[in-house]
Amino acid sequence: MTFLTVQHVSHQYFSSDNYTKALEDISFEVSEGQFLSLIGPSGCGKTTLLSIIAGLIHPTEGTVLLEENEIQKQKVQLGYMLQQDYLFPWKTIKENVLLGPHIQRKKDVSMEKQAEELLAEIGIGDTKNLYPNQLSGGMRQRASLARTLITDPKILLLDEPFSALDYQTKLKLENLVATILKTYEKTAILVTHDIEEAIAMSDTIIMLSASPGKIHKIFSVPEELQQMNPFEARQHAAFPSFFQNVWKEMDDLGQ
Amino acid sequence: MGNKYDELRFFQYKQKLKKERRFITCWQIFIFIMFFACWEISSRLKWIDPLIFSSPSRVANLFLEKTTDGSIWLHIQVTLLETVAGFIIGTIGGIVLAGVLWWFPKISKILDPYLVVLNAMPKVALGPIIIVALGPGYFSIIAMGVVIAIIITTIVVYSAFREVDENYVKVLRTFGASRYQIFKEAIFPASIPTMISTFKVNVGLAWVGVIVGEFLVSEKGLGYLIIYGFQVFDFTLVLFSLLLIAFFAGIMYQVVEKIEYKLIQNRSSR
Ligand SMILES: Nc1ncnc2c1ncn2[C@@H]1O[C@H](COP(=O)(O)OP(=O)(O)OP(=O)(O)O)[C@@H](O)[C@H]1O
Ligand SMILES: [Mg+2]
Repeated sequence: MTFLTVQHVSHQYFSSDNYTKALEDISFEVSEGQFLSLIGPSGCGKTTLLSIIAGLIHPTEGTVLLEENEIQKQKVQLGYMLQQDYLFPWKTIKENVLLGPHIQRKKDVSMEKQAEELLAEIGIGDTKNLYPNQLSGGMRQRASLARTLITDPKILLLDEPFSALDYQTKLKLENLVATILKTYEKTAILVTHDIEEAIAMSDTIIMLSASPGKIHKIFSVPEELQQMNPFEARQHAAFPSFFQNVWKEMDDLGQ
Repeated sequence: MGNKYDELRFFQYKQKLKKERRFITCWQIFIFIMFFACWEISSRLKWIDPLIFSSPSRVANLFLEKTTDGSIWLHIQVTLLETVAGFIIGTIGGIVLAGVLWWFPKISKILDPYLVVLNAMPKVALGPIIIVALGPGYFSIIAMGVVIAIIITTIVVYSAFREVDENYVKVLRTFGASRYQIFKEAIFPASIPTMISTFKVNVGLAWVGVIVGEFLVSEKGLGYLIIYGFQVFDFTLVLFSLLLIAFFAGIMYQVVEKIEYKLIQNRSSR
């Protein structure tokens, strides 16, 4: 059964003297537990597409269905990690993580305990009473991940969550996210600039071309790489040849 | 921990800081004394007209006289209460109005030109109308303080509300937040630094409003004493009231600054 369906989605941004066609006729499907990556040049509409899937923007045309229901019409079951962490500077890390439950009036003692456990699980348990500006970039991104996971979303939308991090932190976090998603059998859509990251983490890669954003090509990551965690996948023999493959397509897009 | 020499250098550094601080304080006191000494001397030697510029000793005498018979306290009390009330109502009112504008973006667009005009207009010119409308008394004087402070507060705080990063709102909306929750969790807390910075400006504005109000109503208060002294040509009284105003305005400003420091410190180092 298809879990998430994106049907003929197009989107225009309007301003008083102009308009931008950000997306044109995007259709794809994601099944439950699948990990999908969106790659493409800057400004091709990746963030726009995620916002539409999250129900934050109404597309000018087309629909998004989650388990056969229109996304706009149901209660939120998505976790959305923005391009930067956007932790609230006046809240402690724990309060930040509990933001979702707080908004949904589900915050109670067991939730608080769950938040602490989650923070511990992703390795920043002792920061719970600190403020975001006291944390490093990698720690903040982890906290942001915890904030996204705590509401137990059916699907995770990740907008370049690792792009601002140093290489080592990035590899660690990739592994962490992949492990967590696998453990809880979550469906996820990851936006990234980084072809290697897309290959290492996902099952399917959708490549978009720019102005207007269109699906250029859909890749299926080799079975053996899908099974591994991102770090192992990068070491695997099948990795370089598949990378070449995707790279060449990206090159042909002329970016 | 560092070694003996590191400690020593740190000690020397602290000594240097202390010395510098002492130097600055000395100069401040010196200027203070010099000002009053020059004033006294030039008045006695008739370099300046003692009838107009009075002298510190006369002002001090008046101070003693007025405090022993207790008549000054009422005026001080009245002016302080009016100013504090004007400040608080003006500031809170401005923040509330800014909230209303944020809540109803259409209204804010419609009202925009009117706000600009109101802001540009010298509000003290409204004085006579306010007094006629509210009657000569505390209400009109407080209203003067409020009118001067409220418009600029509304404009500044509203623009702070609008400049809050959209992405914080986006985060909240992914959790299904209502408009009220968005305001409470993101818009308002993110604008607290701006609101605090309006406090300081508003202290000054409230003083202007209240003193002008007292000029016009002429019943009680330090502003009234100035006008009264002017009318009976008692410039000792005028200067005396002026010094009191300077003193209390200074204190109020310091208090607000302390509050600001507390609040900001809380935010950054909690
Ligand atoms: N709020 C907006 N108003 C008007 N135009 C917008 C808006 N947001 C995005 N756009 C335009 O839509 C297009 C797609 O933007 P989008 O942010 O989705 O790209 P992106 O693929 O996420 O880029 P990046 O990789 O740099 O994050 C761009 O041309 C951008 O200028
Ligand atoms: Mg983007």
